[in-house]
Amino acid sequence: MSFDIPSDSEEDDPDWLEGLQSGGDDADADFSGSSPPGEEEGAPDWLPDSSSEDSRSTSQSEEGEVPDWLAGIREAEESLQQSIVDPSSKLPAEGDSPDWLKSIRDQQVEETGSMDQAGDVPSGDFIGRIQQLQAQESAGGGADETQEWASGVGGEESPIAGETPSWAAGEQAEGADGPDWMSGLGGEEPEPQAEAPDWLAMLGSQQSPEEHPTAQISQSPVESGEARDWIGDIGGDETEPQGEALDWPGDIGGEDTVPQGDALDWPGELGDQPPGEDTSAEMAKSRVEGDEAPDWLSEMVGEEPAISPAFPAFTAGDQEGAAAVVGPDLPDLPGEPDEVKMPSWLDSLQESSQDVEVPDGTSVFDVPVPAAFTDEGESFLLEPTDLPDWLSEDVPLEVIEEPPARVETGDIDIAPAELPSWLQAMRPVEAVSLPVEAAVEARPPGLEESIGPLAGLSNVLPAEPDIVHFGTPSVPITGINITETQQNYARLLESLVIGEEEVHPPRKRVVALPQQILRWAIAGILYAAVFFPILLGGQSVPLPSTDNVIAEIQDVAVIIDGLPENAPVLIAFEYQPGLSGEMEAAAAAVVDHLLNQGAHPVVISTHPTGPGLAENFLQSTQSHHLFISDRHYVNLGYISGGTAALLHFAADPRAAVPLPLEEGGSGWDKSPLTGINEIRDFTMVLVISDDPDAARGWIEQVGPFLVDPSNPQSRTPLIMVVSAQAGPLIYPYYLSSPKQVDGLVSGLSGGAYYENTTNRPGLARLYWNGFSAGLIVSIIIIIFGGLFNLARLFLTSRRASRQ
Amino acid sequence: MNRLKFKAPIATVIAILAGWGILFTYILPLDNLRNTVLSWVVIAAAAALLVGVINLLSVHLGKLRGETGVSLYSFSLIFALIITFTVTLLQGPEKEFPQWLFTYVQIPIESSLMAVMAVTLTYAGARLLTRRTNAFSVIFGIALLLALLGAAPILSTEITFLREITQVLSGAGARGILLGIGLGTVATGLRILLGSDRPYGG
Amino acid sequence: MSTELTTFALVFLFITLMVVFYFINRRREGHHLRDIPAFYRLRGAIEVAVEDGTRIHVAIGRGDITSPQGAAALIGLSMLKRVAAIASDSDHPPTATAGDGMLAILAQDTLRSTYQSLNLMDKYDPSLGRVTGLTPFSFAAGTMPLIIDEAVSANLLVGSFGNEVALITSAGERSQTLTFAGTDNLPGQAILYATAHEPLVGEELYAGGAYIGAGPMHVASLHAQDVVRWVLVIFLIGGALGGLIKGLF
Repeated sequence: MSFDIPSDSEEDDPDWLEGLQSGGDDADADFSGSSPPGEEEGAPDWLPDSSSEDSRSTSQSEEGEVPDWLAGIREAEESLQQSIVDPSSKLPAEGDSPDWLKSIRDQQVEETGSMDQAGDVPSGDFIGRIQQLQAQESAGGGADETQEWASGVGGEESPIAGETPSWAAGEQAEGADGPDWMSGLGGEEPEPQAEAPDWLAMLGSQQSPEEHPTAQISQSPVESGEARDWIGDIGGDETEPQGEALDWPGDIGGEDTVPQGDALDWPGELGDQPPGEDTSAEMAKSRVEGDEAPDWLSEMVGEEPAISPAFPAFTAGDQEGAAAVVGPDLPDLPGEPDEVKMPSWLDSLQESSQDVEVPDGTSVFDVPVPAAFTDEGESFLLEPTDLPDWLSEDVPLEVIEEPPARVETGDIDIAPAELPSWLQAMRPVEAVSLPVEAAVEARPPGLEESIGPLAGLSNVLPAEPDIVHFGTPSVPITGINITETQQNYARLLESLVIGEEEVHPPRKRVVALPQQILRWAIAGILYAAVFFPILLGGQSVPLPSTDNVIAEIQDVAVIIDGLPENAPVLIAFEYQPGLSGEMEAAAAAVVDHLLNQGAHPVVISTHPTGPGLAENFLQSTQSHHLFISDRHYVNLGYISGGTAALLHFAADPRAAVPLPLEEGGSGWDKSPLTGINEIRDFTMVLVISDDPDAARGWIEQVGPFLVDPSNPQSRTPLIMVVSAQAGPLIYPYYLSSPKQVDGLVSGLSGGAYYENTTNRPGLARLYWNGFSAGLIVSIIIIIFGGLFNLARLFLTSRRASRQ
Repeated sequence: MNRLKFKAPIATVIAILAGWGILFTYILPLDNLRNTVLSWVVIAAAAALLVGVINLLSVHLGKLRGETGVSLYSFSLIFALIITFTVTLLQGPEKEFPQWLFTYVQIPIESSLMAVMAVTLTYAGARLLTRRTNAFSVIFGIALLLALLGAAPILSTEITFLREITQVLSGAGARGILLGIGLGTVATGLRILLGSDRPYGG
Repeated sequence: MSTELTTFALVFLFITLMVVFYFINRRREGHHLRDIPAFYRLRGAIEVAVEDGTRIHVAIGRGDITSPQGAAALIGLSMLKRVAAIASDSDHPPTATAGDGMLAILAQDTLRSTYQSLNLMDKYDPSLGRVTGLTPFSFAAGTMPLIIDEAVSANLLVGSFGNEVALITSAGERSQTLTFAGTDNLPGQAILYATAHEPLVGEELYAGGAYIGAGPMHVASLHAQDVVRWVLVIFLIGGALGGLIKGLF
């Protein structure tokens, strides 16, 4: 059983819990020492190195277990947002790109040489681009689906474009072995030119790295440049995919081959590109044209995005490259380009999107096409015949020179959601609630969030639910029906709560009258039994007979008889005033015997009341001695410290009790203290105590100092006069060998015996009759009370058993 | 040992060092050092006595100012304390008036309390079996009666063998209890020396 | 010198056993101590006192801290600390009484540190730790009114008490309060057995810290005491038998 302590903590924990905690802590330490996935030593090689992607890993760590692709999406969104807000922000440094992307880029540069600049790559609204494509393809037909798919892909690709897939980065960085179609995504940095797949080379941008459209795209801190880079780097021959669009969708379309330096244009189709320079749009158009886009894609194309529509506009690189990319001449896959198997999803996509057309001049996805994409020998782009029709159509790529316009919510045709009936029923009274639209409209347009995780974003839906209206409603709420029972409960609860805080006055407790009467009766009987014999006098009760030899008492008499005259005797008064009656009666004859022997008493005490008791004892019981009445004895007073004081006094009495005299000098140099330098210099030590612990203190602390170290047989006698309660505890010290107590007088009976033995009438003889009467009355009361209670318990149990 | 809570490092260090130092003075021949430290203890104990008096005074002064009204007992205590302290300080404890106060005030009061205690113990002895009904209570009662019967002659008849029996039996039992108390005292002291028990509110 | 060496050997043995049992107890659940019903009732009484808003009175006795009787007072301080930690926020917080100035200072310090740890310093009152008398009977006389007048529902008398404890327990009985008492004084133990509701006889006083969760070292020291007790028993019996055999031959 242990107490439950609030707080304190630590030490209050059970040991077993603390042990478990320590073990748990150790276990946690083991776990805490583990690094997050991706950073462990045992991480697969294809996982990106966290050091090379600091920001992304940081964001990932902050987001917990957000997968890379999702984190990339978010980052891309952020980058698009910031690019809209600050179009003047520049590209991140080249060093921000992951290594594998850089390697691809370098590979492209080496393989394809300089690339034409595609101009500025403004970030734009991919949805807008899709719409433009739609407008352009409206004549061609089937462009909607293409746009939808492209927009959807662009929508998907935009965030993805802003982030390098880990698997791709890993492939690039480590050159790990993987599927053939993925091998081109990775890069062999030492010889990228030789090992870049053909389709990557075809998709490689023909533009210079400085004019990489990602420079315009990546106006946000997000690695939009990286996003486009990896897409652009998916080509093999292009040096820098600046301003190039991915054309592998176009290559997939199969209608056009993808020449070297061609850029992938379907990303450009998703973004805004300036006409005439957007080869990716043409590529996309060529691919998409004639292909059927999925319905969901067409739906997406018809809707304006509500949030951050400013996807980066991946400008096409070289128009020619884009066109080339759009063309059906796709670079061959590494190894056996003719025997590359298409993924099944691509097959299905091809079949379903045969009729999708990408409008001209619409850059679906402005992505720099890396040189790798244009490398015929190493590209792994699918043959144009394998691409869906809509992908194989040429789509003019538009180079976006201006930053994408901020999407107005009014321009986006999004049908408001219809609340189900049950949800509408839950809506509060109109008077105290604001409609969603009103709440949204109440917010100033363009208001940006300033706090929280959505800081910096605008057009954010309010966090507070619209049904919550803080403040006093304009229309008072009426009609609350409270029954009388509820009111009573409310009042009761209120009274309970208020009553808890009140401090109740202490409750006076009264002892039951029978108990008080019994106490008074016992007191009366006892006092009468003790008082009247003393009052009447006489000696009806004989004193303890000296025929019964009590050795310890007789030894005291013998020792005192052997004291020389004028012997200094140390007398310690170690009893309390309450027991002075017994102790005075027990010690009076002994001290009287001492004084009769001519001893000079030296009084000391470790109790504060000891000196006063000593004075009272000597004056009241020994005043018939002139030595006492003339106060020729020495009172050393009170020494504080208890047992420590005893030890200190026993070791050096003069230091423990300095006795400075008014006239100068020390009282230790005067009679009877002359020659007293150590405690064993006293002739005898007499301790008068009612407390067995105090008596034991004298025996254990002072007793060893009473032995002469030069002559162990010589020892100052130690005599004890103790109370009857302490006698049995001190008696073993008398019986020990060698004796630690040389004589013992215990209680009033011992004093009476001593008086009888030494024939000295004293207080014990005076109290003996009353003492005997009181003992008899006490015995009777105890016996009677015990028998009464036993009988009552017996009757109660018998009655209970009967029932 | 990492579970030990050193909330007051300085006080704990001082307590541990002082305790071990005094303990070693009993083993090593360092009597002078021990006596010096003991003299400090004596002085500190006297100061603690004075602090106790001040504490007593402050508590009862607080009662006088308390919300429950003036307490007659507290007023009497404070009055008596002031009178006794002043007189004894001026005259000395062995002089007449202080001695008169001690002889005719303190000793009678405490003797009266002792008399009340005698009644209380008799009453408790009579109701012993009511409070705790078991075999040990019966044995306790029997031992009590035997001790009383052997303490003095009953109806002029002295039963000496009872005195010897109680003296031996009670002495033996007391010794056993004292041994256990001694072990507990040693354990308590060692907990202080080890710093695991800090009664100084660290 | 042999006495000092014996003392040192005993102290060293005790410390070793305490440390060993400390680490052993950490590895096993429970305290493996015999049941002492007094502590169960004490816990219930403290909880009831907190609920009632009544006061718990802790008396730590009159033992001199520099004497062996100070050990019982230290146990009282440990229990005071535990009780104060539980009941400090009550309407009537626990009150400590002592018959020695040094004990009163320690009691005040214990209460203050407990209040400080509980962040209840605004409720701390120095008069919660007080001296009620500097002699045994004056200590009892000063404690009795506190029990009767200050809404005390439970008395915890843990320290060095002599005969005067009978007056304290009688005050508790008259005010119908529960009394848990333990002392190292033998006459006091006899009185407590007859007058207290839950007496702690012999070494049960020194086990108080272990039973109320004062710390793992308290439990370890209890186990060490058991071992040393058996060692002493063996020495006593062996010495007695040796003396007997020597006397026969």
